[in-house]
Amino acid sequence: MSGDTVTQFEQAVLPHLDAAYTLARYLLRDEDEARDAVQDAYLRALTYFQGFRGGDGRAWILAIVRNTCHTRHQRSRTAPITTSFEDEQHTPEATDDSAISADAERIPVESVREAVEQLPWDFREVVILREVHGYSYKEIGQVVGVPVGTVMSRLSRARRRLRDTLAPELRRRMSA
Amino acid sequence: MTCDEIVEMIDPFIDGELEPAAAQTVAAHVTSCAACAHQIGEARAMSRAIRDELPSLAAPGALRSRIVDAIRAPESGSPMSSAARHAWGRFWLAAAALYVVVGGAGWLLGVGHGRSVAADGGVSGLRDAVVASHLRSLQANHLLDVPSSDRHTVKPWFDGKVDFSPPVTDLVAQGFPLIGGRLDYVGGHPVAALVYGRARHVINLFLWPTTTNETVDAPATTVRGYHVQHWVRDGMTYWAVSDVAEPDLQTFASLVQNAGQPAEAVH
Repeated sequence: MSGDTVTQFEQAVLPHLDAAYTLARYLLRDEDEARDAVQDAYLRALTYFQGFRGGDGRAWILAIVRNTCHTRHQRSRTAPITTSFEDEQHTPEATDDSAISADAERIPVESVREAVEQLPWDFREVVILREVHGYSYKEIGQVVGVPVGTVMSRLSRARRRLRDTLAPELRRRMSA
Repeated sequence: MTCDEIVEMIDPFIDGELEPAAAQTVAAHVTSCAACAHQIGEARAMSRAIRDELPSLAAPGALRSRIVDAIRAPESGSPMSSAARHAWGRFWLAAAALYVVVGGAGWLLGVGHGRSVAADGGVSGLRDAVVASHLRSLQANHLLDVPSSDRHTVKPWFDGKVDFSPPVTDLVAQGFPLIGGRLDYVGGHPVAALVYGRARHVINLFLWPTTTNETVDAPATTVRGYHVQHWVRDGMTYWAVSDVAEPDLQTFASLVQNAGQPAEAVH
């Protein structure tokens, strides 16, 4: 890599290392796995930097990190994936307002973090990118590789699931 | 608008993703609808709770330095596993052609690396590093930062880019025309790379100051099919790498040594 390319890489990609690590850590739920995945992703990014045409370095590197994590996640699973599904096949059920009051039947989890970490992958990644990273739907779509409409519907369903799981905890927080 | 319709917009509303007109509709609705206002309050509380419990993290220092080292001396990059390549397909389909080129070079860079660099980080590691730099320089648009056959153009170009002034000689009369120069990184340090031609071949001459004043003439070696000549003169260390015939590279090395004037330290 020439000096200019090194400089470009350092300016466009390196500043997002914390964001990359944060994403990997919450997606993979393991420190060592996250470290390895981020290192792996950055080395790949280095190899492919010629394909980077400027623009949003953050979305570019985060997409690589996300894909690296996804590969590791799939490899580490012994069972076939049951939680990933296409939005088209699962149009949202009628908005379930009753879910908020249905918490009595749910088993409460220990914490918000646990609830997020228990979300299926497709839900978890959009929640992390939105809430932790603060990305717009468009940016999330670039990182995950899906249209904005899909981001919106996944996020909405993920939050409904979190609300159901966390209703008692949320109520406590809101009244605090 | 009905409450059902408003509820559908709560997520994009709290995320600031609604068009202004739609956002106004939601805002107007909740001034007169306690149930929807409550739901929005709950959604916001949950966003806050997630942000509180899943804070942004700082990458571990060791990870950062490993990556910075890899950027500055990328020959340590490992070739991709085939499993990783498959997962990669969707995102990089469009870059397939590039992949063949770069991936191939990555394979070349990876071969033999684990053995020699791990065995001793010293001369052998540097030899691998300069060969890797040579290979990278042959990729599109990486060969020259300053394309010029005029040594009076090439030499001053390095001012301010490296903290030494590399001796630059033109050997066109001897059949090794100067093509230009480039800033490169070897072992994590910026070095000067002078580029010479020999028929259709390229010779990279890497040089940087050393701390010793001794003279070194290392025996010629071949790494992954590339010939390497290494010597130290007048406080400068030199590495010449090329796929020209080995005797040609030896001739080149002695020409540079004989033409060499002492390096002028800038500071």
